[in-house]
Amino acid sequence: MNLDQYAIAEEPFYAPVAEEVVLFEAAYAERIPLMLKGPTGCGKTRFVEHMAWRLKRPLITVACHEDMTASDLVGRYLLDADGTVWRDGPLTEAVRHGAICYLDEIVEARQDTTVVIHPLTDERRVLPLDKRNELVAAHPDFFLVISYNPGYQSAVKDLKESTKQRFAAIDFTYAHADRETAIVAQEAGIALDIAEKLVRIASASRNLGGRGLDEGASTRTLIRAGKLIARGIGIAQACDMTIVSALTDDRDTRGALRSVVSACL
Amino acid sequence: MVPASLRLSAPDEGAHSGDVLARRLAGRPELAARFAAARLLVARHVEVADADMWAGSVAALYDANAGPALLEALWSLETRLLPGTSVPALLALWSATRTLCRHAGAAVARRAVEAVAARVHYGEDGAHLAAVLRILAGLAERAADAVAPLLDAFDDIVDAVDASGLEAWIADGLALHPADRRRRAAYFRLADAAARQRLAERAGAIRYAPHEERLRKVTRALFGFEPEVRVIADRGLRRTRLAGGLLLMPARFTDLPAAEAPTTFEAAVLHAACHRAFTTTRFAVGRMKPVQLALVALLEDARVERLATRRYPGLARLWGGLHHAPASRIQTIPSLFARLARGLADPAFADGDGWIAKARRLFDDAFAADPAQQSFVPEIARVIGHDLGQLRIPFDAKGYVVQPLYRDDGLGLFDWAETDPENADALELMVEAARIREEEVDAGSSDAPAEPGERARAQPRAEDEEGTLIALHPEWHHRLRAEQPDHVTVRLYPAAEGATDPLRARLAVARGVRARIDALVRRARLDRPTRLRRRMQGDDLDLEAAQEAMQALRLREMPDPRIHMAKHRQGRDVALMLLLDISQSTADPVAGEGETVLSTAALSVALLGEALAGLGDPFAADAFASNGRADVRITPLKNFDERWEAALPRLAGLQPAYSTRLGAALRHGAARLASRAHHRRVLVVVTDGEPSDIDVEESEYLIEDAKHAVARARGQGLDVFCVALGEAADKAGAAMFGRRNTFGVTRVSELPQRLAALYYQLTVR
Ligand SMILES: Nc1ncnc2c1ncn2[C@@H]1O[C@H](COP(=O)(O)OP(=O)(O)O)[C@@H](O)[C@H]1O
Ligand SMILES: [Mg+2]
Repeated sequence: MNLDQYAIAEEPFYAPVAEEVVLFEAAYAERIPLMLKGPTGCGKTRFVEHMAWRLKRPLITVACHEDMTASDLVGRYLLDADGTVWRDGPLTEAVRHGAICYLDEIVEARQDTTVVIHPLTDERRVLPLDKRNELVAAHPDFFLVISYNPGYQSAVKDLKESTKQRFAAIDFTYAHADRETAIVAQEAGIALDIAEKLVRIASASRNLGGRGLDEGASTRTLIRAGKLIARGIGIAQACDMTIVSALTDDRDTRGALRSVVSACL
Repeated sequence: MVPASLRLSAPDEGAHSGDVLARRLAGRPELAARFAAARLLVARHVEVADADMWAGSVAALYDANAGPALLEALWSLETRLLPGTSVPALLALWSATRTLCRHAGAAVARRAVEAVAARVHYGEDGAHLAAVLRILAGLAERAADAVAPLLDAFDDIVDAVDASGLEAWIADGLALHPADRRRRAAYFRLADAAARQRLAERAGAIRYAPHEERLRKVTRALFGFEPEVRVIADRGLRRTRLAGGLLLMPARFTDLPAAEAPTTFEAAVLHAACHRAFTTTRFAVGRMKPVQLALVALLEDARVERLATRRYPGLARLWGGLHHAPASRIQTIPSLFARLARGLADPAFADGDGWIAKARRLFDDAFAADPAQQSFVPEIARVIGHDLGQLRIPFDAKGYVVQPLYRDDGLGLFDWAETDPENADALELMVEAARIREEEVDAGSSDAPAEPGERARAQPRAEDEEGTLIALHPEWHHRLRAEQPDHVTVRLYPAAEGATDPLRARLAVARGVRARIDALVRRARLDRPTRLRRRMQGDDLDLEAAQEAMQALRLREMPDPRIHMAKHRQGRDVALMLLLDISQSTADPVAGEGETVLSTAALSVALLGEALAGLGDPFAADAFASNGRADVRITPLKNFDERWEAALPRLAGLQPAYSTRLGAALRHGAARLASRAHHRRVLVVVTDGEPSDIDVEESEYLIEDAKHAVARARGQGLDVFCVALGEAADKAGAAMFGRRNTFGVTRVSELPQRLAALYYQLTVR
């Protein structure tokens, strides 16, 4: 099996926000599973890509979702001309061959799905494939990272306490305004002063988190707005598309966001 | 009865009613002379037949014991109307006056005529006035005692509403106070907060309410806090006013076109937010004269706006667009001040006036040096105020109105405590500043009784203890048969956490109950996962399908690739919002247990919470009480996204206090639940009886309001139930929630097992 397709050749741009690089390296050295906590679009995924590149490990990313089953992670029997064959899932591949496996937005997956990672996260470091009657011992380089957005959690969608306890956590927030401005300018290819305005809009919108909005505009959202601006779309219009209309359908909240955009320009 | 005017116009009496009356008045030469003069004037303007109808109307009023003063008042009103009025309007004035006179007496009728006359412009057609007078006559017929009080406040009222608004407002007053004359008088005299509130409502043309939610959010986003706005109908309030943490908003701005309302309200609310953010101390009045005070306010307005535009440059466009004063040479205060305000807001504004140029220069320099230095404002005001004195430009403190329209009137920027007692002019402003504030800010009670000594006694509460405002809700008035918008203020009071040991101990003791609940939970969960066969993907192989596929392969046919099977839990999708009454009455002991109603209810909620955690149903609970309509108190016990254990210390810390404003609590709960997407959403109220509150005398009011709130919530697709605690409570509950949706728990000690059982009964199919 070749994991080359998962190798990251070029350095993904990542501007460190705090000590996260050192912390990740330490956790990796000890193979302590990691949980990256923070709101959506604040750079968790990018950070993992960057670290995989830094540590020169292949990275297998799984975006979790509600309909995901344990088989989607570990693998399943498929049918071919001679009958059924077993096909490893992404988690199993990472375990066997020693990749970093990143389960993005793990709360989105159902709880009965997430329990399959438990035996990988303690001293055993094994992955049982019940259907095949196989116990896969993890490759020494295998490393498990999950991301988790505490802002979203609800009674139904929360990580089990027993799952949380198995991870060390690094807290992420949106980068500080100056840093975030630089990131947006760089990623979207726009001037710093425009990026600064976008960041200001975002930070105002984040004040509405939990009051009309689930969360405010993320760094990712800003980069999208920036990319449209770089293509010649007006700032207000770009914000309308990517922030105002995207974040809410509520009339008053939209009206408020439009006023915010206009106040910042 | 046939109206006098029609009867007199009947042909058999011909054109003689004028002569008849003239003969009858022969014994009163003065009156006769006035009548003759008035008759002559009328004859000059109208046809003969109409003139005779008019004379008939005069005779009818005379016969209603009008007396010379009232007749004189009408005649003099006529003099001013005649060039432009119509015959029907003229006759309507007379017949309305006659009705007033018959029901409320000649003196009151005369006051009414004079009040109306004071608003006449020469040559106006009088139709509007006739309509107003007719409405007053209508009031006299229904409640004669109410006319005089209304006339006391006549100008304020008629300034606020047009004729149809007046009629509606009067109907509100009669509906609110059908019997109690004293309170009715207070209403019509506008000495009652509800009366002013209704007036603002009826004035209604451009209302703040539709903009409120949006502006609350804009302010929170830009400044990190929420504005507290109160709408007030008061003629003295021509601009917004800052009052403590409140922004008082006039119910009616004269000259605000509807199209400009969204920006103007936004400008006003954000301007007030700037003061809250940047005016860090209030200015000492000391010996400053009104002109200096006005200048301080003007400069401070510019300072705080400029500070805000440094971060939010777009706000300069918002505010700038509302400055309309053109450059000019006029040297009056209103013009100079409006231009100075514009010049400070817009550097590009060119105005040749030397005084304005100097003020702008001083301000720009000081702002550049240190914009946060608030003390430069009174200093500059002193200098340029002195210059105005030198120029001998007079300042009319009473007539001065801040420009542009969105800005506050400035009175809230000063610390009036430090006013020099010699400073008489400023003292007058101080009285104005205090006037509305006292009434609206500390009373806030709906049915304010007529006498101040009788003010509803709110339980004392410390200022710093005031909860954060989270919502305004309407309230239904059963007599008005209408919602009063923004009538109640809901505030959040975080729970005082208590020691959980006793509660946990009681949970442990309740083992029997828990076992029974557990059994229920297991049954509820028992809706088995269904198997979805023949899927492209799935957790398991569908053996049957796989076998068929193998056969197909052997036969060298195309196998059907759908050989997987998935389990699908046909999940319960029920969310529960529970509202727990913690009013004073829940301090009552429960027979024999050494527990109170509240402590029993708290245990029940804990048990239910534990059970629901097992079931996975999203569940939230709030406790509620109220201390008048301005203080509906919500204490969150558990949010939807918290684990149920988080509720334990809060449940343990609950203290019974205050009253039960059920409708407000229901609206609050419904709002929380309605935003959630679930198959079923269940709202359960646990209460021990009828609603009541300190500022409401009629129990019917709150009961009807609660009914209305229940209907609203059901309209939103919620299932609403009441758990009524104690004897006879179920009757009260049934009146509001309906019999089938009310569960009486006569012996409160049984609540723990009953509550969970009820829930399953309600939600398990
Ligand atoms: N610290 C950072 N350095 C560089 N880019 C960042 C940083 N934070 C966010 N970004 C940008 O924001 C985008 C969204 O971040 P992402 O990692 O996808 O968020 P998350 O995984 O937290 O939802 C990325 O594609 C990247 O362009
Ligand atoms: Mg101001």
